[in-house]
Amino acid sequence: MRGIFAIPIAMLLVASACAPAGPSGQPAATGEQAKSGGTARVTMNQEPDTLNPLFGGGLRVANTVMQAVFSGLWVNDEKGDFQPDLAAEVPTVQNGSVSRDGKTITVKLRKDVKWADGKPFTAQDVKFNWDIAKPTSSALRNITEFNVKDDHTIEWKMGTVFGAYLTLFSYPSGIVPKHAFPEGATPDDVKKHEFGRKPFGTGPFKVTEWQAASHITLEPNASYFGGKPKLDKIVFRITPDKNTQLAQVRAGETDLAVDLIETDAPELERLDGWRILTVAGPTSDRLFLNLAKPGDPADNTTPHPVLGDKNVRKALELSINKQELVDKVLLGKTKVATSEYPVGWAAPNIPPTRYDAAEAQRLLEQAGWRPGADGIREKGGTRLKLSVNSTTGNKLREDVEALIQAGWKRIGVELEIKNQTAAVLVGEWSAGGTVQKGKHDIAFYGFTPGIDPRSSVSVRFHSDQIPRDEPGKQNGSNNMRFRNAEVDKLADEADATLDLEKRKANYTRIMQIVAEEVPIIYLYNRANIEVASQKVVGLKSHPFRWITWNTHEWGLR
Amino acid sequence: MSFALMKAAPGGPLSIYLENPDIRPEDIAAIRAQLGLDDPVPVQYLRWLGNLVSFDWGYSFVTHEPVIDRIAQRLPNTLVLMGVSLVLTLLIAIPVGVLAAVRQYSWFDYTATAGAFFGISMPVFWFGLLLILTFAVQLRWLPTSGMATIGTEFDLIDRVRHIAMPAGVLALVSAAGYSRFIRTAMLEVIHQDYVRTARAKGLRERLVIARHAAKNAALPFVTLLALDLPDLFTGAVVTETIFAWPGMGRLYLDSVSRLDYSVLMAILTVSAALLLLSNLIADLLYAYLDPRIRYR
Repeated sequence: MRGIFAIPIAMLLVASACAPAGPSGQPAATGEQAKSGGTARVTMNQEPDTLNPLFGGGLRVANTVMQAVFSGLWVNDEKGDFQPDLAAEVPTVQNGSVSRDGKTITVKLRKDVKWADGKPFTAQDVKFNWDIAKPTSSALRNITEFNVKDDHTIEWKMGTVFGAYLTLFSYPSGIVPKHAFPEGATPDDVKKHEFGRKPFGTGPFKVTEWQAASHITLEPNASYFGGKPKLDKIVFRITPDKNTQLAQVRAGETDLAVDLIETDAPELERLDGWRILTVAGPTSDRLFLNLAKPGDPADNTTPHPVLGDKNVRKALELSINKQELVDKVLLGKTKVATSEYPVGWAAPNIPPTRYDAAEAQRLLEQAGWRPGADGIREKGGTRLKLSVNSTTGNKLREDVEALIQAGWKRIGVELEIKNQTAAVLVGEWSAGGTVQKGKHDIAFYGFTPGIDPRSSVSVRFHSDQIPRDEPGKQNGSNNMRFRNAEVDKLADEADATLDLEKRKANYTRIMQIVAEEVPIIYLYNRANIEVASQKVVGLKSHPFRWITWNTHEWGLR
Repeated sequence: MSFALMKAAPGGPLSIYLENPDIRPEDIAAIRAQLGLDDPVPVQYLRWLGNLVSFDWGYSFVTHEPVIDRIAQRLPNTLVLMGVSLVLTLLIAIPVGVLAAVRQYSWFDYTATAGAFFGISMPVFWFGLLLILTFAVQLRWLPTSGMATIGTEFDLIDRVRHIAMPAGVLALVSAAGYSRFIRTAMLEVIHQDYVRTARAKGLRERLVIARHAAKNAALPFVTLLALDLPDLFTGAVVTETIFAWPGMGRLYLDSVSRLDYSVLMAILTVSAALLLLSNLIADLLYAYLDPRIRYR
């Protein structure tokens, strides 16, 4: 499992598919003619929670399946720009579909779209999605009025200008059919409806069978507006053990294994008849530093006795050899991470930090931390000792922790490793979650930003998002308890304008401030690794979507 | 009790939402309130107890399905796996245990002892993987995992091929323990006076062992077996995980790691009830088999 939150909304292709034994080194399968029919067998290591996109927890495996079943109003192309999907065009100020004040948005829908059961897709379906999803989505509640102008035109009005308006009704929140549910269904009815186990949408496939903990079968949607799918079936097989998954690959029991990790690559690269699709994406593993005094809950007004000092944070970052982590632990399959969102239209250009233990030592001396009897630094009777919490059972992160521990020891910093299960580490405030309550010094896990920086930058660094015991504020994402007035101002401005240049400039400035203040130490990006049999053609990694983005083009040789 | 312990453990079922960029903190608060997770623990407990009495097991916090459905999907699979492995266990353990006792200190006894130590000390995840690599990857005699070939009609041979390795591993491990137990129990009765008497009467050795010795040695063994009954329901976590068997063990593991309270409580309640029931069965069987403690 990569990342404890498997929600990569976007992925970047860094290395194209490479055939293990092909004479040209080119993937033998691309560009080949596929015959019609056949079953593609996919193995994945987790079971989706639900396949109802309105109520899923954002599990990567669930999104991988749902992407073949549902469509959004628009989707990202390979450059990260939005292209119409169920909509006839993407609404912008330029084409007149977004009002001058930015609050009213008109969307024309495609007229030729049918649901997988043959019924036509209309504006009423989109309104139904808004009705059902808004109680649990503040972004959708910002829409104050939702009008169905005619069967294929909708118009919505927003309370405040929302710069990231294209993230609404886009993938992964695919549109579900109104008529699949009883008339007058409440959100709770929709959530508990069996639709979540056997969904159909406007995408190329529909789910025809889901055997719990065993497999999910998809069959083509004959009326798919993007063209008839070539395959007869896609079967997603659920195999919780990684070694068993790899055995399925070796035994030829599967055609595609999704969601592997960097360390699986060397073994797979040697296999005849298989090719590896390597994609490095916006997911990065990082250290979240708690800047407030840890406790249950943390004292947000008192700085952390060690991490409260910016120079100490810088020293810690300088004494991590990030390139070594990439080369040794991730086997050179990825790159050093430098910011919250390394790809997309707003990606900031932040250089990686260098590895400089001498400078780190100097900064610590300057901050008053002097080596004690056992080499660990002290200041006024306090030992320079920190603890790090990551998720248990993640071998890769354990290796990284050990390397960081060794590096910090060399500059006189003691690091204790205290890993926890994901439900504890990032559990909700009222459930006593470690990072929400701020009980930790350092939390270590991965995060995958959405395509719009609002969802990763404003939400992460705004001081209003510091978790605290106030209604609606307990589960904010600023678990670093980072407070910077300039960042708050830049984020507020960027979120409330439709001017893309201004938004990009503001978010970039925020990332520069973050690089300077170090509330987060970005370590490395994660590669997304899939292995496919040469028998399957049409598979193509997409920079911003999951491997199943073009299932209608998949075929067997 | 287990309800309180579970709630006292830190963490919560909504942790998957927390790092989802599309879900804001206010939304999480709304979802928690909707699920009733913000009520005081005693209130949650009473509500749960009340529902239990009316046979309402509630909905999973993770998949939003009725808990009873989630269990119903998995239970038959686990019963099949555990049932087959139990039969295999007995088929191995009883003859091996009895023979090892009858031929004490023979080469067979030593081999059985060595085999039992191997079975007891071998880690299941390692041995299971070894089997997969040997029989599925190298020899290609058996499928790696799963319950049946996906997309085919029910086929008994196919089912047998799929269950062979997981049931085999389970049986080997528990047969190791059982066979030792049977051997000890047999050794105890074999030197008793009544066995000697039976032999003295001129009964054939085979009959002595089967009628007189084995029947008495079976007493403690039957109790042991009855106490293991709840395993038929709870399944085997490690074996199910390695062989991708869609059973109760994996459901339990998933529910623990995601803190799916309603599913967890259902599993714990049923296994607690089964434990009581199996104790009762053990006592009754004992009374039936041993006339000395039969009630007057």
